[in-house]
Amino acid sequence: MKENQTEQASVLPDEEIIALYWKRNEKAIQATDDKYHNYLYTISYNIVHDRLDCEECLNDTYLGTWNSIPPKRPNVFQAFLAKLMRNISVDRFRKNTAYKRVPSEMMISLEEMEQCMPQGISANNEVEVNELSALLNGFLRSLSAREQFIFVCRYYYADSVSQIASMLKLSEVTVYRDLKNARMLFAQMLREEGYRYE
Amino acid sequence: MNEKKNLALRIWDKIAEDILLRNTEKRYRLLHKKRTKKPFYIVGAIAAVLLVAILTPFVVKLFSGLGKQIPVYTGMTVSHVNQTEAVAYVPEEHVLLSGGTTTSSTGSEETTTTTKPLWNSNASPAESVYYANPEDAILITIHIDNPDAFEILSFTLNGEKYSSYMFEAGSTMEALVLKVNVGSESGIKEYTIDAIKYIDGTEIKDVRMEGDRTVKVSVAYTTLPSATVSNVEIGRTTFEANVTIYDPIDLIAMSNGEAHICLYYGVNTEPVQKQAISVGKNTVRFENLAEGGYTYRIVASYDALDRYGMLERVLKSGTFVNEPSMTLTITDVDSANMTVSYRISAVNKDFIDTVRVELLEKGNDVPVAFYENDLSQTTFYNLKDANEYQIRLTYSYDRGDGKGEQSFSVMTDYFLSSITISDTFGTITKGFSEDVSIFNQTTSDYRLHLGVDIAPAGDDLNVYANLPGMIAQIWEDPHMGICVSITNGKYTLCYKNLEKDSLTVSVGDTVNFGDVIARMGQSATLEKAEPPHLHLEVVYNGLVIDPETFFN
Repeated sequence: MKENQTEQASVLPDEEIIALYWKRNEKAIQATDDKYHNYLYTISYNIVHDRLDCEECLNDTYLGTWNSIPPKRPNVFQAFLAKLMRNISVDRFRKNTAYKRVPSEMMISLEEMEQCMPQGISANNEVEVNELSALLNGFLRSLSAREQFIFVCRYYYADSVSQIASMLKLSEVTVYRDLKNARMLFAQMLREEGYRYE
Repeated sequence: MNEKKNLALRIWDKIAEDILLRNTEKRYRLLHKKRTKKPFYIVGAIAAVLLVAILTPFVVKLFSGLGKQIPVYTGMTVSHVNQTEAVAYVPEEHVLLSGGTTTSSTGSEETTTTTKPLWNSNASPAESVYYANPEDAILITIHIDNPDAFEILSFTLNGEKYSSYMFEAGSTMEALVLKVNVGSESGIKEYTIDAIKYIDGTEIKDVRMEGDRTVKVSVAYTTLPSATVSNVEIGRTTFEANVTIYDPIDLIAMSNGEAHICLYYGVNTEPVQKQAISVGKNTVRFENLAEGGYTYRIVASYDALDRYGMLERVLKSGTFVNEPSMTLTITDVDSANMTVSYRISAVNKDFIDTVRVELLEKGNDVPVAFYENDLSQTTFYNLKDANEYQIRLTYSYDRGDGKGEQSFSVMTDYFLSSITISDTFGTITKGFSEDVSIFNQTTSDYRLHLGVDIAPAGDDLNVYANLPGMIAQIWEDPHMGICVSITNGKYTLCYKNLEKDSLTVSVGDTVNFGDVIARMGQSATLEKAEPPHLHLEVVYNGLVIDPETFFN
């Protein structure tokens, strides 16, 4: 209990951290780092697979947070940070993959997800991408809570299969099978919507 | 990153907030679960569950694992991709790096198989090597002894992980096929398999590795040595030239190879001379060359990793001819019966590029007949009577001296076409007789007849010149009447018994074959009793001869 009390004293509750941002108190960033450093670092490393890049993405995330709050006041601070960190890391990942293959979990998960992508859709076409995103959201809602969680962790956060299995206390085989089935269902759904595949 | 991966990334930009929030919170919670003290009975229950959970796999394994064989990796093979099917190479059929054929200068082939590979002196003879060209797609087949058909999950090749969905169509649980591109760099590329995972029930396990873990693919070199030849000088018995060998990536040196220039005489396959040369500029000189045509070949031995191994390859070749072997001559010119035959002598006619034989009339440079690139023709026909001609031979060939094809020409002396006298002017009614007297109708006695009498053809009493030449003399003979002679300096034709005042020529006139010179008459007192006719005599070297010997 004593340890727990000590641990709790070293990190501030999210509401207090957000209040520091609103007061433009620079301790807000330190407080954020104290509480979420490892969490955010893991999100970034899954994607960019490079310690230096992770540190830079982390700094960019803190800067982005400082610039966003105010006017924003996130309801769930860790979700806000996670999304921001993920987006910044994905941008860095895109830049890096322009000239070399990044051996990260994100690359592997993209190679899996690539199997579901239909032919002839450009990633630069906003209209088509929005349509696909809408279909993805619909698909995710059709999954069970566990299947949805596995799918989001794998293809949004690029968590490894072993990480997901560890979180859910499942075997890796089960996670593999869930992912494989979900990908097949998604592809089938897109086919029924009229999308073409090779 | 390709378009599909980009798309797979982008579609998550618009993930629904509620879905993201719900799962992010859950994820955070699961990652940062706090441990709390539980009551003893709960701890006991958990311990019991854990014990069962720990022991169950062993029990399951004990019963389910009985009789099942762990999959064993036995090796890898490589095949090429073509449009219809992948052609598999079994290791025994492959040529080791040290193998291949060597070609001697005689052109014969012999296969050498040593056990020392060229590039890796530590490699064992058992290692198989596969050959590919840059940017080739190859199929790597991973062979697994898997009698119980365990599902293979993934494997790691050269540090990269390949999951089951990445295997090529047609893969089985005993033969996993992966398609890879060998890349653009030449050289030996190694593919090493690190680990293979399979599923046994609910566990992921490692396949036992027993076969060779590495396979090598030789990617052929495309930047190969070449050579140029310049400043060629050909003497009567010598050949000299600058030879430059270019080897941008030092293939010859890397292969411990050599370069030579070899000289071949005619169509012989053994070189008559050979000189070693090196990469870069060389001055080459061959001496004591006999007359004739030669071929030179610049060769270098190297291994281009193109499955042929260490091989002597031709970088450049050329031909040249040593003077004066290529002089052509016209011999044995023989003119008879309005034709002329000849012979052309030459050595090494195969090196001649063009040849033209022309028949020219004296004073005229335009040929009346010719043969082009046909040395089988040796006769010209339909020459004019007693006309002067000559034969001109023009030929060309490349001496290999850098000046390209050059032309040469030879001419014969003038020769005369053979003489003939046509009997188209009528019918011979009385022949030549210089030994036996024959009856003379006019004198009613027997006399020698030193010419031929020719009756007119129908009503045509014209007398036609049948010898091109000059009117030498016109006279009135007391016995043979009006006479005209035509001469060409060698022969003289005398036309007698002509009609008075019918001459159309004068002394000194030049006449051609067929010109009208007079009309047949009865001016000869010795032949007056006979109808009008021509009396024709032929004189050669001052002697009267039988005109019929010259009629065609």
